[in-house]
Amino acid sequence: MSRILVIEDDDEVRALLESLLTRDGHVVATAANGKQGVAAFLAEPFDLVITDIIMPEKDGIEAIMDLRRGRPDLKLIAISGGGRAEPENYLHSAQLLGANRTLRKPFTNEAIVAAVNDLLG
Amino acid sequence: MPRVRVHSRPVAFLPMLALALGAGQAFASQKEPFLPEWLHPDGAPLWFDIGEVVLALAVVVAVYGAIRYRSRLRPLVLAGESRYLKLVESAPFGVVVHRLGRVIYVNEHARHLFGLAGGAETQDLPLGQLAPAAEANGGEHPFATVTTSTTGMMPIVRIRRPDGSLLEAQTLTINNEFRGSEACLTFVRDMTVEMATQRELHESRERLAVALEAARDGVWDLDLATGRLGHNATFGEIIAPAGEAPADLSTWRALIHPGDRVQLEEAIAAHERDVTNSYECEMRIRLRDGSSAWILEHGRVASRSDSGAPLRLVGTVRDITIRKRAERRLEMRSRLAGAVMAARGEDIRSTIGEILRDLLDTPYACVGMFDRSGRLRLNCNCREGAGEASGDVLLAAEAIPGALQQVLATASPLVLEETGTGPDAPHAPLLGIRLSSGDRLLGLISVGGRPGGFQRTDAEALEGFAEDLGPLIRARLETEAMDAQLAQAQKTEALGVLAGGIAHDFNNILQAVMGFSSLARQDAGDPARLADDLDRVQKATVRGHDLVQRILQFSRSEGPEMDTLDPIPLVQETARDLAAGLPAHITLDCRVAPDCGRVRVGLLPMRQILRNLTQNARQAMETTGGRLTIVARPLTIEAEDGRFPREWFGRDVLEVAVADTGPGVPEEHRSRLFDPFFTTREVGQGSGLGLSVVHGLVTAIGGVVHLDSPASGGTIASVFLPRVPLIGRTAETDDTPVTATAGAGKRVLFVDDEDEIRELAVVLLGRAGFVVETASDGFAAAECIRARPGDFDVVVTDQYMPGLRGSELARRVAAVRPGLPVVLVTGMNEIPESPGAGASLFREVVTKPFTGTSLVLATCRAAGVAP
Repeated sequence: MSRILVIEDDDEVRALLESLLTRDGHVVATAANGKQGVAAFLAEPFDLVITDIIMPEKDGIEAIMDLRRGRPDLKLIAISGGGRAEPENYLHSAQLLGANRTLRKPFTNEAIVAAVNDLLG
Repeated sequence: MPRVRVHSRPVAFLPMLALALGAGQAFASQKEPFLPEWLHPDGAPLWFDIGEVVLALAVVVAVYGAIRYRSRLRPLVLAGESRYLKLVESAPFGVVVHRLGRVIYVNEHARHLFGLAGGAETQDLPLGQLAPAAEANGGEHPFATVTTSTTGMMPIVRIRRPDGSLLEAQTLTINNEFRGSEACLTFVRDMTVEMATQRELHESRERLAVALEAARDGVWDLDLATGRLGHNATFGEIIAPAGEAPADLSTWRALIHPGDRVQLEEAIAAHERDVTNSYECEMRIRLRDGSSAWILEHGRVASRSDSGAPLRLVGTVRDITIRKRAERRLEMRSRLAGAVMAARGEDIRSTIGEILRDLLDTPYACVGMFDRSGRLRLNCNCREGAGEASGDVLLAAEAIPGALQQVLATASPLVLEETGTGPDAPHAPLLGIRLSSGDRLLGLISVGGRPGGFQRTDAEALEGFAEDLGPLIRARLETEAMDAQLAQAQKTEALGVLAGGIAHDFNNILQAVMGFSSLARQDAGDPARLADDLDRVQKATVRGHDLVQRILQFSRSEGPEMDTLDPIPLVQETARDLAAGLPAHITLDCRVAPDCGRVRVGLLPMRQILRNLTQNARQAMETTGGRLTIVARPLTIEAEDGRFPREWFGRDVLEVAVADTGPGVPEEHRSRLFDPFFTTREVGQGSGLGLSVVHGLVTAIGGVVHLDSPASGGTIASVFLPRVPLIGRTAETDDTPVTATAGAGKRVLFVDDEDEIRELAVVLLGRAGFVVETASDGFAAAECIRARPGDFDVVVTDQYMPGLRGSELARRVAAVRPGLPVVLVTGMNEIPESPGAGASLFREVVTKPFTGTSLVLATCRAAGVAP
């Protein structure tokens, strides 16, 4: 049983990921923005973090930088639906900063579950 | 008193001498022996003539007296002579005493003048050596000539000093006694500086004369009492080139352009009152040949009467025509460039026409430009009252009037006295020139209708104008072609930005739909979970609909849907949502008045307005923290409140204000706040559409947005919306219960071209108790009504269908069965045609995608049954 933190500002997407991963047998905690996410991560240990990129307070790129610091073994998945730029642009940055996997929104339930299990495998 | 004594002694001595002489004479005349005979020198009895003795005695006495007097006088004489020498020595001019060409004495000043050292020996020096005359003077030294002039004019001599410098001096030589003997005294006055000054003055006068001549300035001199005018030749050349120059004031002033006379008189009057040291005035004058010239008159009062009244004016005139023309051309050129660049579309020709009329002072100007198809687009521009209105005409090549054809055919300016007859004939006399750039013929410009006709200078001015205008027009035509491309590119870019902002939201929506519908498939066996999944999918599709509405509202000029709404629940909902996500350093204060009435605004736009305003306020305090206040209250606009248009005074409105305590809006950003995409935020933090969307929405629903950044800090954004009287209809939501018998068997004709929609409507309306028939297009529906007008209670139709549209169907229904209610279903967020016409055509409007509830409620209302 792995502990997963989902950082996502969109209520529905957050609820989806929470529901999906819980059903898959993981313990899931959620945060609505990067700032809350980093705070939650520091409070308790997680095996994997899924983070959105464009969020208020603290965006996913910053969050990834904070999370990576001191935890080189942490598994990270970045997800994005883009904004002013194509999602790939944000996801590419996330990858350079240490995201193990990136997924472009919208993705299928199978894709995210597969990515999670692959990394935790 | 020494002086009295000096003078009293000789005076006292004279009577004494006279007395002695008188006594001696008296004795001698007696001829009586006075001495004994033995005293006679030749042995003869000493015989003394008593008179001789007395005389001798008197002489002795006198000689003694004289010797005595002289011995007492000598110191006085010596003292006088020393004073005299001292005076000469220290005289403020040079004194040279000489005899027979040799120097006897030189005083201190002269030593200095001739550059002699203090102790230098000058005694017996030849005059020529002391003061070598710089120029030959008839062989004789100038000092040697005794001055004979009685006019007081002292000659000037030039002397070369030992150090080579030149001394110019005035001299006066007189014969006089010096130290007891005859000598010449020459007085020398140094004139070097005076002479230099005089020469300078002379030269400057010369220079002035040369300068006046070179500058071609006319000089004049006016006697104000008689009006007589004196002047030099240049004055005449400037004022009256081919005629006689005016000799009196009135003739001269008559030449000045009437428009400039007042200005000149004012300048002179101000100067005469002593306000200015001199006056200057640029003005036009009329020349004999009918043309005009520009002159600069410069003058001042040369003399005044005892009472201060000016008697004489002197001054100059200068021909500044060339300069003025250049200035005017420059001014015109910049005006033209500005006009050509700034004018929009069709305005350009009339703007140019106005400038042209102004330049040439004519009542009529005409600007024509060829369009792509070779037709001449002509704008004739007439001054008001000149008998013809301004306007654009489009002329095919063969319809161009003959006079303008002639203008187009000639490269240089053309003057036509006759321009033909008829309403299209340009005004005569006409001055025109074709407009070209390089080898491209662009059009023509012409002026006309001036009573005095046109001169050579007008033609030159027009030619210059055309030269300036041609390239500008060409550049503009080329820019316009580029602008069209650029505008398209910008539009695309703006859409890209808009799309980017939306993409983020939309992908999240899609994510939820995809994810939860996929979960729903898995959850098919678990009704509770399935319902939850489907709720989420539905929620996401509603958000998708919101998003589409937002895009439409922004991109369409038509207003958002016009429902009436109670703003209170929405304000409270917004506050609740906001409070949930606020960071700890921002506090929220929401004050909602108990009754705010209703406003004519859709739920979605109102929500959007509130969200954008609160979002902005929140972002303003992101770093600083502070208090966010939301206020909603009814308000009556007081008269003279400058924030509102006049027609708002006394009106009942709803004010929704969102205030923050952040840093406020910097002055430089205020004007751009409502621009689309203007944002001070980093990319990714906001689309920059916030305030512009608010502005767009509020303006579309007839409201006013006011933004205030008080000096105390923070920003208050207020939206004012007109309140509408309540008309008994309450806001409906999906929660409004609909009973299964609400339709009460009313017959509905449902018209839509999509099969799924028709099927959905049959189910939804059927469940609510309606009897539903369907038609798949407008023609079929119209035929149905025509054939069986009494068979239906309500028609519900889609607007956009192939063939007959919903609005046209409604019109036909109204023709066949007036009063049969028609409900419009539209996805385009608008009522077709004008809202007024639409309102009368349709009883109700339902927006797509409709929920079961909205369709049923609208149909119930239209059918006149309670839901």
